[in-house]
Amino acid sequence: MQNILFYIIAVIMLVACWRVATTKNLIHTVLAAFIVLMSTAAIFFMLNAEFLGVVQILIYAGAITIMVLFVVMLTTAGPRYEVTHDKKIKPSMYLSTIVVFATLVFLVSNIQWPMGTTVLQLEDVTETLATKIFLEYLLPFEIASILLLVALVGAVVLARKE
Amino acid sequence: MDTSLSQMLILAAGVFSIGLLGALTRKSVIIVVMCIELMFNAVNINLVAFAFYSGLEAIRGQVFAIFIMVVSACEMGLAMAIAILMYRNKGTVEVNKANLMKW
Repeated sequence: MQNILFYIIAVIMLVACWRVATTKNLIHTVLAAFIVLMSTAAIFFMLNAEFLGVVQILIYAGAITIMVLFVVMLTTAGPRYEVTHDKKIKPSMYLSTIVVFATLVFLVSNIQWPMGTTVLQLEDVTETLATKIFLEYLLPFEIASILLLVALVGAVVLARKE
Repeated sequence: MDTSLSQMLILAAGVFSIGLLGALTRKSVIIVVMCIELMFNAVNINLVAFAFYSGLEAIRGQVFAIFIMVVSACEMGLAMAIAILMYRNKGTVEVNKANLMKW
């Protein structure tokens, strides 16, 4: 049952990924990216990472997709604007992608991954996550918040009119 | 039958490779950054899958995934600001038009 669900999500995700990489209409590309991000959230829910799944939906599928849509509409000559591919160097790009994918699949199927005795339990994942972040990883958390602030100020400084 | 770790890893490898293909072939800066975002997503799937399949103490994988999300959100915001700036200065967002520093 879970396996069937996984295969359905995986197929949706890979097809949408392919649409992101190849569709010429920019708006369709961003909408396909939205589908990929939502199915990533579904994978997170399958893997007992409910907090990450919700964050994925809120931040990625919600905020970032809307922001990218805004930028597409601000920077191109309308949604019908099409970006052409560079035909001349395309085969080498396909080749390098296939090499990367083959290497990854080879490694995944040949390495003996260290497996735990049990999978992650369902009940208090978010609570454990909060404890880890706010006790063990407090300093990286604060640094990440400063990084977000700096990026926010930097984006405003870059994009405002002189 | 339940899903296994290798299935998740191969799915993430596929997403990563297609994201790489998009980042290499697309010409719009916005879509290149979007494809890099897909590659971040593949890494997050890997981390969460490792956290799930290697037992109780491995929730650190999810902590790392949160930090990756923070960093990629920063990167996305800055990249969109740069795309707007580039459109204002050059009138296009195609990457091959940004050749001012090309030797």
